[in-house]
Amino acid sequence: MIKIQNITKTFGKIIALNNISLEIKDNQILGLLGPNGAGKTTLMRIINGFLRQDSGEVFIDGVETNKDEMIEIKKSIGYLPENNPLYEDMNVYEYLEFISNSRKVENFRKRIKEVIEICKLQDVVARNISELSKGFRQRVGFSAAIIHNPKILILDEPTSGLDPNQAQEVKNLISEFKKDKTIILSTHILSEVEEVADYVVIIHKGKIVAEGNIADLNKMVLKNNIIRIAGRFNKDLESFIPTVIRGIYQISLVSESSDGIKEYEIETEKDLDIREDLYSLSVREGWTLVELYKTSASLQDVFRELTRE
Amino acid sequence: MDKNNVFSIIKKELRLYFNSPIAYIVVFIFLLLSGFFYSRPLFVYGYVTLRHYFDLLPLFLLFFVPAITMRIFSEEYKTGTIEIIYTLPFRKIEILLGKYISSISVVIFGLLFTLIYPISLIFLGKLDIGMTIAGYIGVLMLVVFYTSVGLFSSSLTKNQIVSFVITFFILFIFFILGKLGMFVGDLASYIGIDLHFDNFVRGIVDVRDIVYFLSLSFLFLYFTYLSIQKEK
Repeated sequence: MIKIQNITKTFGKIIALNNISLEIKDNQILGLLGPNGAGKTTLMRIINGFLRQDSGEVFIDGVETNKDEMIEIKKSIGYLPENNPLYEDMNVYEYLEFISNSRKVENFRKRIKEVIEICKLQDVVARNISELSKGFRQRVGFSAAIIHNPKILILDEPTSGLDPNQAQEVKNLISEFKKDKTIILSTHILSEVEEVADYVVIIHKGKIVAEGNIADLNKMVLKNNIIRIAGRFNKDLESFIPTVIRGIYQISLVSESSDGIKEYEIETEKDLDIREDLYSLSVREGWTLVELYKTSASLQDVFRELTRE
Repeated sequence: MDKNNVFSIIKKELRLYFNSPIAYIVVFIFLLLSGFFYSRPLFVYGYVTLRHYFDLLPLFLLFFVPAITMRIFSEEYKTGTIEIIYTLPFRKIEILLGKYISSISVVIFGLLFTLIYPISLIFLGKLDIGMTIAGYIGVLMLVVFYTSVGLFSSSLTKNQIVSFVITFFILFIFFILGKLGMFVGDLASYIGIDLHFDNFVRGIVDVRDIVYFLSLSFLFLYFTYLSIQKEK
């Protein structure tokens, strides 16, 4: 378990992390979400010992980090830094050999072979890292992070800068590897968190503004119901609907196509579902409906709401 | 401290030096220049001696050593690989020593080629072997000292050129103090390189001179250690 207590970190006048506390359970996949510059990278760097906090403590399995350069703790962490820096003048095998020797991986030749297979690097093993495409580079970084089979895996923006296929490959690697592992993953891509993480922490300006699983977070922001209705109407819904259905807060016209199909967004009281009423109303009025659905707030809405300037 | 960790870093550094063309180019240029100054007295005046070569070496190394050491930390800062090496289970002191030893090794690798000078002189005339060995011990002392300054400068900046210039500047002060000894007083001349290095060149291996070079090296290694403790 990783326990983070009241961590504060400043860089000059900038407060990167402001009194953050967080618990990460074993085998949890934690998604750190936040706009650029929110403090995600700083938090990850403090956990893995690259940076030192100004105040507060981090405990990994009960051991406080930042003691004696935390050599023992570093052994159980695999880390893929943001932008994935690599030694450009080495070939892939040399690089993996350096990392596995540094981490004292037993039977390292066999293990290098294994990670090369897992990360599908067979074709580029002898290539210089400087010649690799971004997708391959990311896989090299990932294989270096897992080569010692770490208990904790910290991935800082593992899919940034990759095309959708490459990003999917990295996500597949994460899912493949997640068994019996604690994974901390930072990103500003929301769908990624929804796909991979089972617990989400949203950081904004160095503070945790929300945490929980995705359903919890949705509830936090989704205060009202929103219904969307589209079709051909012979009345102006904005003035008409509130006179026949109760509990309506607001109706607004979202779009109108050239062939006369209008789309409205209707905001109602929480826990009120007016879809049946709307359907009966359309039948009665002779409207042609093309769409009628209830929207749920996406993580994106949660994110926007919480990190609004 | 774990010597396997130090060894692992040495291996990595040497690999990076010799996988890229920089080390070869620098060594080549160094040999070209030093070869000229070795062969001139021999062919023009017919002297069988390494004096001229040794006399110029502190100046040559002033360019050669920083060219080798400038990348040692700076490149890692610039490319971000410092984050990799600092999050591997190494102690800072192991990283420092690994980088120091590998840089010295590359400089010595370049100097090894110059052994052809004394070897050829043995065949060409009567070379004072004792004096030559003392001279090379002096060269080794220079390398140990210069490299420690190079390491320190490189730990300060992510810009390799700046690292080169700082190394050159610091070493130049030690170099020029020795040259100006008679004008600026005894203390300055004691701090300067010449007084100590000249003893070796004249064939005198004095413990005090060894202590001078080693203590300066230790001092700059200690500065480097302090410098890498700070977050960049």
